[in-house]
Amino acid sequence: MDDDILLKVEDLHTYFYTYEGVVKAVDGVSFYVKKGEVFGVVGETGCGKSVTALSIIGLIDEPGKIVSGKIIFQGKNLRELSEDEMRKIRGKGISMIFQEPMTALNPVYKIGDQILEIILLHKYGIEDIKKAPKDIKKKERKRVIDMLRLVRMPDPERAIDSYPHELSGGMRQRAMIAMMLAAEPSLLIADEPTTALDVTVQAQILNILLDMRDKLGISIILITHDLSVVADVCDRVAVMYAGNIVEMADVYTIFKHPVHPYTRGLMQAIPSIAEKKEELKYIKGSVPNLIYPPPGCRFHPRCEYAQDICKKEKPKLIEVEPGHYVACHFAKEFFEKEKESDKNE
Amino acid sequence: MSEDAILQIYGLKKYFPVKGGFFGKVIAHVKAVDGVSLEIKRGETLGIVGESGCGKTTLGRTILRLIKADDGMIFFNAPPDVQDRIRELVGRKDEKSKRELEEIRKKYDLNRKNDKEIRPYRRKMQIVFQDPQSSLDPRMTVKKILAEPLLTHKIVPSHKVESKIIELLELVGLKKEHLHRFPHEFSGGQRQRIGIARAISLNPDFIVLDEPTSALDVSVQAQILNLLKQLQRDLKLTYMFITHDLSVARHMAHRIGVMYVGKLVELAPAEDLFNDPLHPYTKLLLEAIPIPDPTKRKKERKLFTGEVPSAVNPPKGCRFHPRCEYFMAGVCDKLEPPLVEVKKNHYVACHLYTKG
Repeated sequence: MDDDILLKVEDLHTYFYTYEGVVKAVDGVSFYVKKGEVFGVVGETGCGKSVTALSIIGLIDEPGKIVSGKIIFQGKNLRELSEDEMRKIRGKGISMIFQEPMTALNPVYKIGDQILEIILLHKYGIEDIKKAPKDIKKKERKRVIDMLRLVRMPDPERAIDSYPHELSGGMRQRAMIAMMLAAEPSLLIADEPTTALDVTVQAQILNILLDMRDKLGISIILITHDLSVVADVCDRVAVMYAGNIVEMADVYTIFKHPVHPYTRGLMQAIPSIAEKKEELKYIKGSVPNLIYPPPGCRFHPRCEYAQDICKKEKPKLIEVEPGHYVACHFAKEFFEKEKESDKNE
Repeated sequence: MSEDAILQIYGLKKYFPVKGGFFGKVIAHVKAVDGVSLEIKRGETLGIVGESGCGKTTLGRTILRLIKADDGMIFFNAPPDVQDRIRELVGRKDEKSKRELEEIRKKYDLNRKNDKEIRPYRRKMQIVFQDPQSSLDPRMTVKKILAEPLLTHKIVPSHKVESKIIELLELVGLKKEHLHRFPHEFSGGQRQRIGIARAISLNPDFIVLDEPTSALDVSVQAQILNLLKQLQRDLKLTYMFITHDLSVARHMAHRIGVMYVGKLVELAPAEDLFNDPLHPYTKLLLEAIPIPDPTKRKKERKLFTGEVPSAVNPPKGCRFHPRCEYFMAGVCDKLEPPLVEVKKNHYVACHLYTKG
C-alpha cells in the first residue's frame, strides 16, 4: 500500500512572522498523494492552500518559515535536504505551475528557449544555454516542439520562437505546462492554473492536465477555490479552512456525503448550471484573521451547530468511513445523519 | 401590447481607437460593442454573459452613458405608447418615419443628451462595480461615501442625511457602528455591500451589476446574490447582470443574452437558454462549464479548440465561424447572421436558423 504513496505531508506548520503578529497560515496539515492521482486542495481565500503547496516545493521565503512537520517525497524528508539537493528535486521531482503564467515566464526570452533551457539542464547538466553544443540544441529543438504539441499549442513551430507577450493567456499557460513537463517531474503542483482563464480555455487546460496524468503517469496536486473544477477532474480532495484540513475523501464520497458543516455550506453556496435553486444557502460571516484565529475549532464562529466544546477544543481529523476524514467534534453524528437521509431518498 | 420596457437599445456601437506608429495615429479600432439591439423589461434581471473581451462591460457602461456610444439609440423610461411607436419606426426607411423617429430621439434618446441634460437620468441608473476595493475612496468613511450622492442629488435635506444612511446600511445588512469606518476595515463582501448601498441610495430604477461577485469567495458570493434578489423584490429594481459565470447568471437572471466579440449571439429566457441552447457558441460555453457533481462527469471529454479572437480584426461573416463545428463555407465566412426570433422570445444570430 505504501509503495503507492508518492508524497506524504505530516503535521505541517508554516507560519509567517509579520509586524502585526504570527500568521499561522498552515497549522497542522497532514495528507498523502498517491502515484498517478489528481489530488485537489480546495478552499477560500487565505485558507492556506497555496502556502501548503509552496511549503512542499520549498519556496517559503522570509518572513515565512516551516515551523514543524515532515514532507516525505519518494521516501526522503524534504525538510532535511540542503538547498542544493532541494534544487535537484525542484523540476525533476516536483514542478509547479501558477495562476498567472505571465509572472512565471521570463518576458525577454523566447518560449522555445525557456523550455530548451530546462531540457538542457536536466538532461545534460548544461546550465548556460549559450554554452550548449549546436547539435544538441538542434536535436532538442524537435523535442521542444513535441512538448508544445503535447500541450496542444496551436501552431507550435511559430510559438517556439514567440515571446510570452505575443501569446494569449491560454497559450502562455500551455507554454508554462510544457516547460514544467520538460523536466519530467513525478509530481506537478498546479496552483489555480485556470482561475485567470475563460471557461472554454479552462476546459482545454484541464483536459491537458488529465492527459499528462494518463500519458506520463504523473501525480497532480490541483489547488483551486472552485468546487466545480474539483468535481470535474480530481480523484481525491482535501477541503481547507483557516490553515487546517477540515475534510478529506475521494471526490465521489465527499460530494455525496459531505460531513463537515463547512464543506456542506460551501456546496450549498455554489449556484449550478444544472439546476436552479430559489435561494442560495450561505455561510454567515467571513474567513477569520489568522494572526488571532478563533480558539478551538476555527470554524465555530460561523458554524450553526457550534457547541461549547467547539469553542475550547480543536477537533482532530478522524476517519468516519474508510478513506473519509473529518475534523469536527460531531463528525460521527453528522455522518450517520447523512447516511440516514440517503436511505430515505 | 408589448411589455413595458425600461430600456430600448438599437444598433449600439462603441469602437475604441488603437493608436500606434510614431505620431500616435489611429491605426485600427477595437470593435468592443458592434451593433447590439435589445430591450430590458421593467422589473426583470437581464443577464449578459460572455468571455473576456466580448464587450459585456463596455455594453453596460455605454448604456449608462459612462462611455459615449459612437452610434445607436438608447431609450430610457419612454412612455408605453412611445415605446410601441419606436418599435414600429426603427428599421423603416421612408423619410416620414425617419423624421418622426428623429423627433422621438430628441426627447428620449440618451445618446442625444449632452452632459448637463443627462444628469437627471444619472440618479435613475446606477452601477455596482466588480472590485469594491478600487471603487470606494480609501480616504473616506462609509458615512462620507454614502452622503456624497445624497447631497449632490438633494435626495434628503442635510439634517436627515445620517438617518437615511443608517437606513441604507441596514437595508444591505450592515450596522450603525460601521458608519465611521474606512473601506479597508471591511471584508470584501462587506465592501460590496457598501457599493450596493451607494447604488440604491438615489432610488434608481435600473442598476447595472458588473461582475458584482467575481472577486468574492463562494460563501460570500451567495450572501451578496441573495441580498441583490431581495433588494430587487423590495425596491422594484431592474437589473442588468453582467457576468462571465453562467451558473451565477442562471441563478439571477430572467433572461440571458450571450455575447461574443462585440455581438449579441443569443438572447432567451434563462431556462430556455440552458435547456435548449441554439447558438453553437452557447452550446460550447455550456459544455465547458464544470458541474459541481462528480457523478455528472462527461464520459468523453470534448476537445475544445481555439480562443476568442481579437475585436480589432474580428473574423468576417459570423465571428464564431473559425471555431464552429457547423461551419458552412461560403455562408458563415461571408454573411453576418442577423439576430432573429426562432422560437417565442428566443433570439439567435446563426445561419443554421436563418435558412428555410
